[in-house]
Amino acid sequence: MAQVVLDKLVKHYDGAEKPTVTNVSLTVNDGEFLVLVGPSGCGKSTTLRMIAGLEDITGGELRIGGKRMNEVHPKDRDIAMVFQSYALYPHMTIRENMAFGLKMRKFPADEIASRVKEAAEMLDLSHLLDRKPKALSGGQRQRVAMGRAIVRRAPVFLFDEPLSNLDAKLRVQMRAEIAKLHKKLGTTIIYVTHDQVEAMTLADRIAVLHAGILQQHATPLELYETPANRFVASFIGSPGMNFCDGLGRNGSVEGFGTHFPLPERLKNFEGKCVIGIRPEHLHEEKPGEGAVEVLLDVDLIEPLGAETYLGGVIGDGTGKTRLMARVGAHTAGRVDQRISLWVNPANIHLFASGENGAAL
Amino acid sequence: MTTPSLKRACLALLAALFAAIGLPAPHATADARDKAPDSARKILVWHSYTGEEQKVFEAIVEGFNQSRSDIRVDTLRIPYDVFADKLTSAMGVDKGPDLFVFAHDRVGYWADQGRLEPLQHQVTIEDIERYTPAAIDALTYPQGSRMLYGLPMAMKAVALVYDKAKVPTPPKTLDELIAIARPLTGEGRYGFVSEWASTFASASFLHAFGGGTLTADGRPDLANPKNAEALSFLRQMLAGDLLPREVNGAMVTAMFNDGRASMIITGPWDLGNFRKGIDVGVAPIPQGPAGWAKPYLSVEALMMNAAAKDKAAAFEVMRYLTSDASARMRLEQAGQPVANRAAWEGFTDERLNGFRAQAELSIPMPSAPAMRHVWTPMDATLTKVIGQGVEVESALGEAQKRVVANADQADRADPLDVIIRGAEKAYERLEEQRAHPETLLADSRWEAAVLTYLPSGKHPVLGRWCVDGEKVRGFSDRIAAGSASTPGEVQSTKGAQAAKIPDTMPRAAKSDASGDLTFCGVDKAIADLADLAVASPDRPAVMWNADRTEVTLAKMSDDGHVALIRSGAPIEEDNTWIYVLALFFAAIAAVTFAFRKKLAPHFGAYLYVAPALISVVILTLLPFGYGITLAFKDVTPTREAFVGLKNFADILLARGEGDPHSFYYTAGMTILWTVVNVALHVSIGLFLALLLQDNNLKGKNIYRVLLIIPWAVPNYITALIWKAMFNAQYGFINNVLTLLGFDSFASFSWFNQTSTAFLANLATNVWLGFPFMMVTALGALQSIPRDLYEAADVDGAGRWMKFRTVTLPLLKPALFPAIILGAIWTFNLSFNVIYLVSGGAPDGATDILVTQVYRYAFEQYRYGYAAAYATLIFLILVTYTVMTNRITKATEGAFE
Ligand SMILES: Nc1ncnc2c1ncn2[C@@H]1O[C@H](COP(=O)(O)OP(=O)(O)O)[C@@H](O)[C@H]1O
Ligand SMILES: [Mg+2]
Repeated sequence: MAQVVLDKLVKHYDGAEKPTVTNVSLTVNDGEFLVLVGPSGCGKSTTLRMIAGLEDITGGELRIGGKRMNEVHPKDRDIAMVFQSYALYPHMTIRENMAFGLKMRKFPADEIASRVKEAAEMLDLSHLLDRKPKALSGGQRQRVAMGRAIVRRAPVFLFDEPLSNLDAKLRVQMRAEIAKLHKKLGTTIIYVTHDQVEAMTLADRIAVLHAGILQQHATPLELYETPANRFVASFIGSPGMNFCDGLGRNGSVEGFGTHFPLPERLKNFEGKCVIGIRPEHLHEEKPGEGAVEVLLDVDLIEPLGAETYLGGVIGDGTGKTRLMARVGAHTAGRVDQRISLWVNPANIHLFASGENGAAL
Repeated sequence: MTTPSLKRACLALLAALFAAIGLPAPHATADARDKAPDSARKILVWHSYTGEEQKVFEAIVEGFNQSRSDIRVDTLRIPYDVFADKLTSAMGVDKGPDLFVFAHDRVGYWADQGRLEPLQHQVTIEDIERYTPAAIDALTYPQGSRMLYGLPMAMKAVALVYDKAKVPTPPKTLDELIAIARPLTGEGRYGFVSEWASTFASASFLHAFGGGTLTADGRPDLANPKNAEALSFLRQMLAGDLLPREVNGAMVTAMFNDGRASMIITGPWDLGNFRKGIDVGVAPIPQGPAGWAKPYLSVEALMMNAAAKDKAAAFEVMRYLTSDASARMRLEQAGQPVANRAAWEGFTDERLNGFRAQAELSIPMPSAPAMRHVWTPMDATLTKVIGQGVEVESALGEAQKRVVANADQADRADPLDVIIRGAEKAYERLEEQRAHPETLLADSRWEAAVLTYLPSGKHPVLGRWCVDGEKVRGFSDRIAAGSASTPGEVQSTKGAQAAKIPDTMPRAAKSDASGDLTFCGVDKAIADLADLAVASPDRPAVMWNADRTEVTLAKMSDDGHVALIRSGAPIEEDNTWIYVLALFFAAIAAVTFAFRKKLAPHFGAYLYVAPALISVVILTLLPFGYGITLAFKDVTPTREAFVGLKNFADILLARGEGDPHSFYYTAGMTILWTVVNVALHVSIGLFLALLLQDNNLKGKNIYRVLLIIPWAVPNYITALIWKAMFNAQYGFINNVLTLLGFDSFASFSWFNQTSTAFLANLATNVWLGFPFMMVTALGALQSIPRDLYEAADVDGAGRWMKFRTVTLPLLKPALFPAIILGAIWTFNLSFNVIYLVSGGAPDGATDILVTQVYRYAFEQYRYGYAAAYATLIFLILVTYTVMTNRITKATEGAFE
């Protein structure tokens, strides 16, 4: 139905020093759920609003369904949008809110009624149709905002941080509903969030944005397993990846107070790099032959029930490198004690040294 | 704040506050006056002179002070525009200056209220003969009577002022005036300019044709054929383009100075205003068919407050200040056209002599109270007849009806029949008591008196019962004595025995008194009253005592006796408010005391609100309540009586004879005015707010400031500017319209028709009103979340649909209160606009309820009627507010 193609999109606000979005190229396939993720202020909303037509495009081309959209008015772009604030019309009932887009498009009344009814049932809003938005809870409003998009049956849905105004529990629940909805409707969805959990759980593919530049565009698992650079590596995963300056020499790399054998393809690597280890890849029991021991002087224990976060500094005497490990519920670690942790060398990540080094 | 001692202290403070407010000592100041040392003999004179006149006047007063060590005169200058009001209210409570200088036209009004000291018994024939007779006539009230209420200082009357370069010899007759004016007229220039729509300026024309405004005894007389002739004459002049379409006093002088007018009618006050270089001549206004076109003469006079303490000293000061010598100083040094004949001898200033000649050829402006009611209807008639060509007889008839009705409403001493009835009763009682003198003496107060004029008709004699304990003010035996000797005063009489016939009583008086009457001198005030009764035999003369608790009535009977009857207390002075207030505070104090246990925990809080509460009660609730009580009374400056719902009935049944338009017409006009205004305010304000809201607009802040300016300028200034812009001949609007090719606007009179006058008002008020709505709308627009518009964009709404379905509904919560307020403001507070721009023209047709109330209260002096009118306005607004509140409840809170 509708493939969305961003071809070197640039947004430069009047009076701003630098472009807010720089040369973002991205293809969202028909029916795909793409999540645009990145820290606050990185230009996600700007990108989405360019797609919606709410923001002029400074450079590059936007194509929806193969047609250039740069100059097309939002109402003619075949998109539906769910706003972060929901943007429900406060003076209209839920029914009127949902029907508004269809009314503007001059749909016959019975068609409007049946679509609203259908969407309301789908979202469990049927009993609320005659209320005004202010008489609804946050989650209900969120559903109305989605209902407003659903009735449109637009081929492309745009979501701008739709769950950020909800509490944690509701967020989980709504996340599931959105996933269900996508399955049912099969529309193309571009979904903006700063929450990597949302991104990982919902996305077919994730595009990571940083400072207006696209960092990586891949499936959630690829992103987790082979982050393209240090930014992506640190952004995806919680707690974040542990980093330590490393030095490659003689087929091994030195860091975290120990040595790790270099993988086959980097056997000959010599020089400075950055080693990354995800906290969940540090174990209290030796996972097998070849595992490397890392010593940790524990200064922080955060029991979460099912697991425990251990924080501390590497026991190499310098006390410089901090490390976070994610271990089982019944840890042997005690504050002010040193414990041994084990890493499978296959699980270490190597990046070029520097601010945001690319994966080696 | 909670220590008991502090609490107690605060309670005491509150109590003291209540006491201070609730229990004033009404007579404290009067006592203070009494204590003034006799030796000082201080005399205070109020005047409103400025410039040279002030300097000279003060120099003359200084001269008096130098020459006299026993009397000291102080002067106080009061600005002219507040002079009469200040004086009226000061004299109303027996205060104010001993002497004051003011134009004579209020004499009748003040005299009727007993506020002026009559002087006929102090002045001598020689005194009187020093002045131009017209000036003395002006100060006599009622006209042709013996009552004299002041000594003249200066005479001011308008005359024909002409430019000698263009008019070598001034016209002697109105025909000549036209003959001279015609060739000098054309292309925006006029041979002759007069403020024809003003009764004051046009009065001379009425007189030239034998007409006038009041009869000799002070009754309105507008609808006569002579006035019709005069108005037709002026109408013909205007029709022949010999007069400009719209002029006011300031324009007349300005046109003369610009060379656009060769002859004008103006007064001596303009002498300093003529442009240097114009050779100004002053001549009498020419003769008409019935003789000279005599203008109204305004006599500036020195008058004495009836409450003056030292009247003998005050009179000496009066004599000095109005003497020939001081008059000569005022004439020579200040150019004042003085009334003393001797002062003019050898005085050669041609212009001043011109004005003086005109003053000799003038008619004193009637000072009868009815005159106050002539101006507005007569001005309207002049506009209608001369400017709009309305049929003259019917217009004058209409004016006559209105003046009579208004004068009747305001000045007819309504309780008069009551007084007369009461007086007749008292008279009957007197007759009874005459048969039983012993009961008479047992009575604690004197009730009636009989005054008889001696056969010579000159010396009235008062027979009167004097009874123990009664204090009688201001006695004088002088008239009875019939001598010009120093006035003596016989004050309160202690008991019938003490009230023996004074030695000064002439024999004639004694013999005239019947045996059972006791003479005790003649109350001068009563003698004055008797004079008044003789002066107007067809109506009784009425006099109040100082406290206005008793009325004395003098009535002349057919046989030439004047019966003086003192009647009980027909008017209770309304001191109830003091009791109400005292009661109120007592109630508060009682409640506070009763609930002191409950109040104690929040005592501090109550203490904090107390001052606000007290001021709300005193400043808002009490006046409001007083206004409502007035509505059920018939109140004018001269009377006050409870009439129940009569005022409301008169208004609602549209019975008011003196009203050009009924309550319903005015209410309808007000509603139309409000609706049209608010609609325009909102639509223009909203439109501009939407323009200013546009992000692409450059210089937004400058526009914003410019558009708020109309709001920042004081609205009366704006109103006056718009009024000038709508001037028929020289106004900006007509000039622009003419330039644009609308020739019919060349000298279009906007204020001649209701519709165009309404438009002129509307333009002004819209100009004043839209910024508020604009600012409100701007604020409200900014509070509409931007993403709603984006949602609407995505939803496919166009510009108009977004406005209709997003902007308007979301503006409603902010605009609705603004509209409600705006409506109330327009309804109630656009007074300045109506009053200053159209002034209700034509003839009250564009008046709204509040301007109409103003006219009733302050042009017609019908306070009760005005209060009822105001109460109705209040009810309309209450209804409106309740209704709109209902509607707002339904719309409020669109946002969370
Ligand atoms: N209208 C605008 N004019 C100028 N700068 C803007 C405008 N809107 C957003 N920005 C800037 O662009 C950057 C990206 O904004 P945005 O796309 O909203 O970030 P986010 O990724 O949090 O959604 C921010 O630094 C913001 O300050
Ligand atoms: Mg954002």
